[in-house]
Amino acid sequence: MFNNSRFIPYIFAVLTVLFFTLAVSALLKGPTDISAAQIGEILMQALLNHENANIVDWQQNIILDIRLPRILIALFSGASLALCGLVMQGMFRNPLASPSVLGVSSGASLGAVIAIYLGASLISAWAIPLFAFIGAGISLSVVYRIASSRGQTNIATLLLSGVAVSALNVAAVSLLLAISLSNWDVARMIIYWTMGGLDGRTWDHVLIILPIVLTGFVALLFYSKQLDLLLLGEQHALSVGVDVRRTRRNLLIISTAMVGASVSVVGGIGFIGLVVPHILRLILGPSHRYLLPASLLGGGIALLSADLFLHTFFSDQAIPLGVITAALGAPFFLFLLVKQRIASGNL
Amino acid sequence: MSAPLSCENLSFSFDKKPMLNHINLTFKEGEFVALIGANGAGKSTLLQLLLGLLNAKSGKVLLHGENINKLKRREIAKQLAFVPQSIELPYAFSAQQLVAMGRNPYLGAFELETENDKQLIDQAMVQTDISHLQQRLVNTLSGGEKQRVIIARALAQQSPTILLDEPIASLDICHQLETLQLIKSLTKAGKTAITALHDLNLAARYCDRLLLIGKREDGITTIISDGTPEQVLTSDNLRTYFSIQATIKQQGGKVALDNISPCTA
Repeated sequence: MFNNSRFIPYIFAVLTVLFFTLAVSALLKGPTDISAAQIGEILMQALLNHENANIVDWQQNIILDIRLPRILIALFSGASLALCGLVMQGMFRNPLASPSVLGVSSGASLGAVIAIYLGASLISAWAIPLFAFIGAGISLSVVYRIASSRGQTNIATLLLSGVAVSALNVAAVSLLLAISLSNWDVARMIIYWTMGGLDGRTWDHVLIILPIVLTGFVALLFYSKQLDLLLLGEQHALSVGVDVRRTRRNLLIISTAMVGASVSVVGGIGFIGLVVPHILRLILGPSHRYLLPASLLGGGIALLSADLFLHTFFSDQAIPLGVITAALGAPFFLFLLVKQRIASGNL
Repeated sequence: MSAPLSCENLSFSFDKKPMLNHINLTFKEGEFVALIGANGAGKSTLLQLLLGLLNAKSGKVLLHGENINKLKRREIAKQLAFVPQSIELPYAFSAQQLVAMGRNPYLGAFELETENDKQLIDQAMVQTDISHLQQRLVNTLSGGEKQRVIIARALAQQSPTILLDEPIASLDICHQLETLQLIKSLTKAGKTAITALHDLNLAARYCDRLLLIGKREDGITTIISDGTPEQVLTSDNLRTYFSIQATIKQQGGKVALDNISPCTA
C-alpha cells in the first residue's frame, strides 16, 4: 500500500499518538467520574511521591489499582499477541499463522489450568505463567514438527495440525474442569481463570506480563534481519549466513514465553496475533525492522480499543473481550483464507 | 594456499537409503564447473552437501582447508554464496532490499549498510542487468527477473566461491546466455563457480570442467566422470547416464552435441 520509506515515520507517529491517546482515554473512562485534573494529581503524586491534600483515597485506589494495571495489561498483552503472530507468520512463511490458530494459546491455557488443578498456583504467582509457557511450548513444537519437513512448511498441514492440537488442548481443559467439580474451590478458580479478560487484574499481573513482553521485544529486535531472511525460505537464509535451526529455536522460545505470559494474565484472546501483523505488513512492507515496533504499538492499540469499545457500548453486560476480537478477527481470517486459495489455486 | 572448496570421501543417505557415496573433489580458484546428470541423479544433493545445508553421513567438506562443520554460518556465507533452485518470493521486498541481503554476513544485528556495501550492491545489480528494477517489488517480477535478483544477491555476498542450482532453468535463451557469460567472466576474475546444469551444450560451451553424477553398475551413486567437456561427453556416457544418442562435434574448439535423440527411439 504505502510500501515506501517516506511514509514510515508518519505511520509510526500515528501509531504512537493512537497508543497514548487510547491509554489516556482509558484512564479517564470508567463507571465512576473522576476528573482529568484529579487523575493528573494522583499520577503526579504516585510518580513524584509528594503529598497532596486534594487527593481522595478511593479515587486514588480506582486510578492506581484498577484502571492503570488494566490499561498496562491490555497494552502489553495485545502487544505480546501481535508480536508472536508476526514472528510465527515470518517463521512459517505463512500469513495465516498466529498463536490462536496454531494451538499455542490453547496449549498455554491447558498449562495454566493444570497449574491451578495441581494447586501450584497457590504456591507462587509465577506457577500459572510457567505452566502456560510449558503448555504453549509443547503445543507449538508438536504443530511445528508435524507441519515441517526438510525446512518446508505445508500450509494445509500446518493449519490442520493447529486445529487438532487446539481441539486436544480444549478437550483436556474441559476434562480437568469436569473432574475437579467435586472440589469446588479448584473448579471455581479454573472457571474464573478460563473466563479471561481484563477484569480484576492487579499489579501482580502487570509484573508478570510487563518484563516478559519488554524483554521478549528487545530480544526479537536482535532477530529482525534473520526474520526478513527466513521469509525467503530456509535455503536462502542459510546461504546468507543465518543459522536457521538455532534462530528458529530461539524465536520459538521467545514467542512461546510471550504467549504464555499473555495467556496466563488475560486468557485466550484470539485473532489479534493474526490480524494486527497482517494489516501492518500491508502498510509497512515486509521488513521486520519496522514491523516489530509497529506490532508492539499496534497490538496494544487493538486490544485496548476492543476493551474500550466493550466498556463504552456494552458496559452493562459482561461480554468477554475474546468475543469482540473473534467477531472482528474471524471474518478477516476467512477473508485471508479465501484470498490465498484464489491466489494459489488450492489450499 | 589450499583450495577454496574441496570434499573428502563425502557420503549421504536419506531414510537409510544411500544417495551419494565416496565423493572426493577439489575445486580450484577461477574454475567454472558444471554438475551434470539425469533428473534425480543427485546434483542438488551434492550442492547442498557442499554448502553444509545437508549433513553428510561421512566425509567432510573443506573451505580453504577448514572443516565446514566447525565454521559458523556467517563465516561460511562469506566464502560460499548460493543460488537455490526454487525462487518463490511471495513477500514484498524491493529488488534492492533483496540484493542487500547478500551483505548480511558482514553486518551486525543493528548495523546499516556502509557506503562500501551500497557500492557492492549497486555493482551486483549492474552486473546482472537489474538496475532498472531497483525499487520494484520482487513478488511482481517475472521468473527470469527474480532469478537475476537472486544471482545479484549472491554476487553482493563477495564470496570466493559461488554455487548455483539450475540458475538458468527459468530464463529465456538470451538471459540464459547472458547469465552464463556473466558467471564465466566472474571466474576469469578469480571466482570459483559450480553450477548444476541440464543443458549439456551450454555446459560444454561455457564450463572448463564437467562433473557427471550417476549410478554406477554396482548401484553406487557417485562422480562417474570428471574432466574437460571432451573427456566427459562421450557417446558411452551419454547413452548410459542420459539415455540419449548424439553426434559429438567440435565447434570452434568446443564440444557440441548434435542430432540428439532418446535411446529408446
